[in-house]
Amino acid sequence: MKPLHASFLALATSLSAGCIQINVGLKEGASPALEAPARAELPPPGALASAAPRSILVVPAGNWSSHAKASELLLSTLSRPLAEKGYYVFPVHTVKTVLEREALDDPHAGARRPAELAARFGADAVLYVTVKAWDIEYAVTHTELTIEADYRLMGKDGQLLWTSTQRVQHRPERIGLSDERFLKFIERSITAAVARAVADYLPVARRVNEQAIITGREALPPGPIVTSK
Amino acid sequence: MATPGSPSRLLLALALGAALCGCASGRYDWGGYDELLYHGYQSASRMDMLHHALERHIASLEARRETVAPGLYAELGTLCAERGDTARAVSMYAKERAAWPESRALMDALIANIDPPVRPRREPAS
Repeated sequence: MKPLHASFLALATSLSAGCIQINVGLKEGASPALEAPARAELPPPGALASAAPRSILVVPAGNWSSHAKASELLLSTLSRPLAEKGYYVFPVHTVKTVLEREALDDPHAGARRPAELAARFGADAVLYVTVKAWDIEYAVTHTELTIEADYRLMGKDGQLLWTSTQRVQHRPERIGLSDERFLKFIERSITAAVARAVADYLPVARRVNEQAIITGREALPPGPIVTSK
Repeated sequence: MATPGSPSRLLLALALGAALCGCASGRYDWGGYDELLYHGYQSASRMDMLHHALERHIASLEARRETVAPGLYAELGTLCAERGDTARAVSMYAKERAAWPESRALMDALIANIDPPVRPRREPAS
């Protein structure tokens, strides 16, 4: 795997003419992220309104996809729609470093309960995000990117406030590679993991999150923060 | 057009992206934060770009007396801490706390636990 990967990188650098984004650390196999709380039914009506959270802590709850970094890539585009919707969003990269440091200190920390997390970070609510798919279907004629994610907002007392499941499929005109020979080479000889590494999922990630928080049919209701810009 | 992947092309793309998103929703000016963080997670070497962009972006927001979006001060603080600039990290965490009281518990904890402890340090040139 390693020599193939290295030679692929060299080849990609020399051949590609697009804005190639190679993720050197990419590997197959989902990393075991934080455990999601047990699957619950829909939130009771009025739960969100009565909890009226002002601040939201976003944490990865699982990555079912085969892209090892899918969680953090999706979370990087989530702060913005949440804050635009009127919530204080805890800084996702800062929170990630805090959680990782704690996981190192206590590898058996296991699942993070919403009440525990909310208390320690001083958050009103915790948004658990599970990546269910982060796929690419590629061919010479078309390429399709798919992201599916599950969102569960839990109150600081552990109650379920809001849920959403979103799936976005996107056919970009190009996937970040414009050299057709290179694309054919990928199709013939390289695994989907490599194609996934060079494809540009950023617009898809943004759309999945925006659908959940802002534009979707059961989007998150507005938060209390009012700003005058 | 510059060669693909060159800094100027990348900057143009980032500027375009920031401009497009800036007018999409409008509550805050994010200065390309989500895109730069995304790229930073794709390859760690690109986290520096987020660091520099946040430095510039926050300075320009402060000069214009505009609200800094939730979390941006703290993210800059964390990037400074990761590079060993704990004094600047503490100052950014304090700014996050002042701008967004919702962050108080986390910012207090980050400041109290910063490692290594704060020592006087000169601001980097540029």
